[in-house]
Amino acid sequence: MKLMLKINKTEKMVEAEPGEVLLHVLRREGYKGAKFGCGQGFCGACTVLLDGKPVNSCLLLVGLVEGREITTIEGLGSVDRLHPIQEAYLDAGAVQCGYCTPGFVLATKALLDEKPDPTDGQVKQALDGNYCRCTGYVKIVDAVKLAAKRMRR
Amino acid sequence: MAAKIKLIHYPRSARELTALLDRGKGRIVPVGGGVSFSFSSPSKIAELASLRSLGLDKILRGRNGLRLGAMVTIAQLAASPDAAQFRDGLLALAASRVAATPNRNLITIGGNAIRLFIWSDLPSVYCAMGAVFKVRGPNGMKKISCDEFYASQPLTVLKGSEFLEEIIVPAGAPCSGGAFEKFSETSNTFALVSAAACVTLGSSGRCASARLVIGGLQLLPRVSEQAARILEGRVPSPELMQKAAAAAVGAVKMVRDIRVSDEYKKGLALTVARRALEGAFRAAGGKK
Repeated sequence: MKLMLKINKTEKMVEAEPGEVLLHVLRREGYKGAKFGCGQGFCGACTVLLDGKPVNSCLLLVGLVEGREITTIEGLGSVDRLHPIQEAYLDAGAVQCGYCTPGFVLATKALLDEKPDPTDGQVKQALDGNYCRCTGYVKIVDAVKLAAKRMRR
Repeated sequence: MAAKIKLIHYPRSARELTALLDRGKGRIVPVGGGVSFSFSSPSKIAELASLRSLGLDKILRGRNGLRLGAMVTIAQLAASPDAAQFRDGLLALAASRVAATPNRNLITIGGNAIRLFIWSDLPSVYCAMGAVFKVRGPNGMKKISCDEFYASQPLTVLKGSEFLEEIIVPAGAPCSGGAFEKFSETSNTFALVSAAACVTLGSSGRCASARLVIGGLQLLPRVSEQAARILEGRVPSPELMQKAAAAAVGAVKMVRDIRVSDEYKKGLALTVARRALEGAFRAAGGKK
């Protein structure tokens, strides 16, 4: 059936079963930044923002998000014009294989929208739903702090 | 995995919802955040009825207690100043310990209360706090005590076209205190063991009431009668709390957990339960 989704501030008609999870629909529609990881809401590779809050799109029925604001990594920056958070992740060396990075960046966006100057503890708590299996977390926390500093200027 | 859901309804009123559920005869079921349906749904369920448009996403503090709409998310409860200031902040604390941030943003307290798992944190807290579940059906509204609501799987307690509308947590008596303890492998994962305790002290310093619930050992949260019998009418002491915790753990029929041995879990439960009691009595003592 046809569903009207609001993705990255643009209304888009998609063909989907209401019981499909949002992640699969997004990827089918070309939003490949959200990744399939565990499929059980643990790893955060599929993170998108729903009304500004990070959620696992692998756990979200697409039929339940009509009329709500969905933000994917494609809505933040582009290859030519990176978002300051994406720049900070690169500059801090917080990206290695990159599979988890979209999820981390979106979780960071939600955090900094709410808390522009977070403590280390707040950063760690905000990223508690995202797993990285190669870079480790120290540089990721550094990246969030760097992004926060730059975005406050 | 896609659930076999063909249609999602958005009823505008409770009356519309119950009529829809009535018409569906089990093929249409109410849905909050929808997380459990993303894993699987029974094949007979073809349609969902979202509670999103019913205005059940509010936390209201009144003279008689705290009212939690079924569509309040766990994250909302964790961040609620009303919940933080209510009965030693037990609800906000327990909510903040449920899974990870993205999960808390999605899971509603209604779904969390009904779709019970052995590691669910909040149901134990509701039982310790003596919460009441407000259920609406075709014949109007009824209130179900937490003990009755969790006497069996809540899905079987709700009949036909009934749905959970609100959880009401009563205000605490004077000189009452509560505490919640959880032990999990990491801070953002399921409890191996949790415990919630709410106690009231009488004027003589004796325990007037004690509601201890141990989570993670069995599916249904139960207030420990054994612990209450040991504590009530006596002046609380570390030895008495240890004895009450041991009695509570000893009375539980444990469900096998593939993560750890039963023996490990029993030892853990004893410590976690004792700490919950200590915290609750400390909180109650501070209000004398």
